[in-house]
Amino acid sequence: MLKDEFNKEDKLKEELDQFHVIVPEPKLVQKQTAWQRFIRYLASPAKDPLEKTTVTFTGLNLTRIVPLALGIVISIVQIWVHM
Amino acid sequence: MKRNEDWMEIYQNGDETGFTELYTILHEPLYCFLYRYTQEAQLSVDIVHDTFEILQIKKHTFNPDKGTVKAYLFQIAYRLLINKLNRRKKWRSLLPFLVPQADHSISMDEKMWVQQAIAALPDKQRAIILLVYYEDLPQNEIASILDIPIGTVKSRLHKAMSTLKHDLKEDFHAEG
Repeated sequence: MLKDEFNKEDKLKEELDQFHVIVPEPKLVQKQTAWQRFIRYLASPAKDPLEKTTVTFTGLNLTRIVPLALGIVISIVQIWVHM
Repeated sequence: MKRNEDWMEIYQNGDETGFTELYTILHEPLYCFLYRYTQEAQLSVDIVHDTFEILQIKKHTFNPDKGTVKAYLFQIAYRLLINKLNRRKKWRSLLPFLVPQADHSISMDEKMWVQQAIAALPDKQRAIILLVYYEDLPQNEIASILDIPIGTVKSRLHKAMSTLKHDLKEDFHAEG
């Protein structure tokens, strides 16, 4: 058997033997439908796409200033178009 | 005492008891293999369910001359797992912020050395170590599960063992 290859590796065997797995029987009994899995996927935590901008002071200010600046630019364009 | 192959034959002949027995005997080793590979409980649970569902659909494609029921089931599960992980990788590269963060019940700091070392192994070596050490499967069955030549199983096992031993030595030196 291939496992015999580990016979001389006592330290490695000792470490590998520590990897115990607890089998979640209640979860295994309940089969989830595709819809339930989809809902679980939607509800699972995801990475914040704006994390890099909101954690820094400059980034946070930019998220405030950029919409304001955009609003001003759009207003000017509208005024200029209707003139 | 009936073997897995006997229960499979009973199931193939239309008796659901065969399936129940197979589930009772094999769901635990299958979950353990999947959990040790992914270290994600929910993903492993989902794949166990999907594997037995496929077994129900494809029960007549099992041929005892080609291998054991355990190898057949592990082959289905391994293919499902690889497909899911590849799909996840694709999503991660396309829309990185939409991919749910993996629900690790324990943080990397709390994980034992062995869990970290197994997770750090290249995918192909990881599967070999798990199937050889924890499942004690013969070389030909591992080759059929992973769909690789028999000779490759041994070479990958040696590579995986030397990687683990190297990590273990480094860890020992770091502690000392």
